Amino acid sequence: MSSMVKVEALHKSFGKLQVLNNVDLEVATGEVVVMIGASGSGKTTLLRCINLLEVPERGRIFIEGEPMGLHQPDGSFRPLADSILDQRRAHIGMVFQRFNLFPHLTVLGNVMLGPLLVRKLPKAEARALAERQLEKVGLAEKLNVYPSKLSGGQQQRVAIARALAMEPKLMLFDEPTSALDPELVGEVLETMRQLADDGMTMVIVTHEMHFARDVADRVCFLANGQILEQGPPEKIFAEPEHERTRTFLRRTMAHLGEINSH
Amino acid sequence: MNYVFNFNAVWANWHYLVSGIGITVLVTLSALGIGLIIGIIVGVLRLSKRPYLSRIAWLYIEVLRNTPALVQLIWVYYCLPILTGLELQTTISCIIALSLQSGAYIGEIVRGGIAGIDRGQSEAARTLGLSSWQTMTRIILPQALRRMLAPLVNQAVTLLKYSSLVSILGVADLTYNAQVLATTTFRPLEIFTFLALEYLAICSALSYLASRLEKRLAVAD
Repeated sequence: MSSMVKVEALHKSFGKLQVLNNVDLEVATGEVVVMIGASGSGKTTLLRCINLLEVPERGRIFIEGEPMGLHQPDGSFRPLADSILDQRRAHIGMVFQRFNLFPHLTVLGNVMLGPLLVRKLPKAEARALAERQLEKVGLAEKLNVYPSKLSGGQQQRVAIARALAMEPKLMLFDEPTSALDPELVGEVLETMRQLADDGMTMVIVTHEMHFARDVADRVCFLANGQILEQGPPEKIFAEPEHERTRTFLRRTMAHLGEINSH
Repeated sequence: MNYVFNFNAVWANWHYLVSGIGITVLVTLSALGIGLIIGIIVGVLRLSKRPYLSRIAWLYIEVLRNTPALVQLIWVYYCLPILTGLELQTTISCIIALSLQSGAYIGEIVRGGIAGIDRGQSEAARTLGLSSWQTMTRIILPQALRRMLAPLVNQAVTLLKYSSLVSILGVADLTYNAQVLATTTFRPLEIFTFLALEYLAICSALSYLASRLEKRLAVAD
């Protein structure tokens, strides 16, 4: 299996707070990796370093073997020129916790924007592509609606369609269901599950443990800016090695069980 | 007070009094248009990550906001031609001075408008592969301009009032015509009262228009 993402010895601090402490991560093409951990454990920062929304101080990042930065002899990291990064980012889709749809554009306008401006597709072709993606996420009848008129779940599915319209090689999900009302979580997870079934390479930060157990090929548990433990979900959820993983899972699963029993 | 108002001088010459509106509107609109271009450039530079660019923009804004408009007007009219050797028409000088000044204020409005847009918007755009230029022109500015609308109309009202300063240099705007008429008819009280009412009418109409526009945009959101 070829490597889609390769991160080596990543260090990132915000001021005095060290958020990532020497993190290595490799994601194979077609693999679905879910990152779990308490808030502040560094999982979102690690995800945002992959497409350089967050720039690490030290370390190396490769997408399909291509570096995202200049690796200095002293180990410090300098991002590549914007023009190159723009091209690389065009192949890495990202879905945000707060959707970040463009409020001044319609649903169709949101999804067509990347294909038009970045991939330079002719308008008719971009439109057809956008309609196809929106159909895929079940929103074919909302083309000309503005995002503010949609429910959170619908907005997040538009955001997924917007990312998919770039025909990315890799999709990053940053807590995609955390801002949703509980009854809307299912539709977004279902869309993501389909995407995984289609063979998309995905890195997902989430608190949805059932989803992680069912969909992930590999689960990484982060604590204190490090990947403390990783492995197939059956192993991580059934017999975690570290006490901290056990504690974390016991707390979140108990919490989830409570919700599900209603 | 036993002054007896007599508006006959106003009624007899109202056509002349109102005729200055062409120049007033021309100066205001030109300064607003050029100021908007300057303001967008200065406002964007102010937020630049390159320190020297944002310092230059900051300096520009500080200098023009902290000197009187009248002094700027006179400086552009008297000093600029000496320094540059350019002979400018008086009206052009006035438009330049007021454009530079409104550019500074609009720069601050633009900076505030842009800074008020959620960071997630530019993150989402950059993630799609949009360049920083595309992100600014397609995502940030269209949203920021909408927020800037109300302060921009305020700026237009301020500019319209400041435009009366051009009368000092003999440009025949509303105020200049009123001064001429006041000295020839000896009825300054009536004439300047009428002048104030003219500005009041235009400025309130503008403000009303703005509130209508703002409501319509709010509905579209």
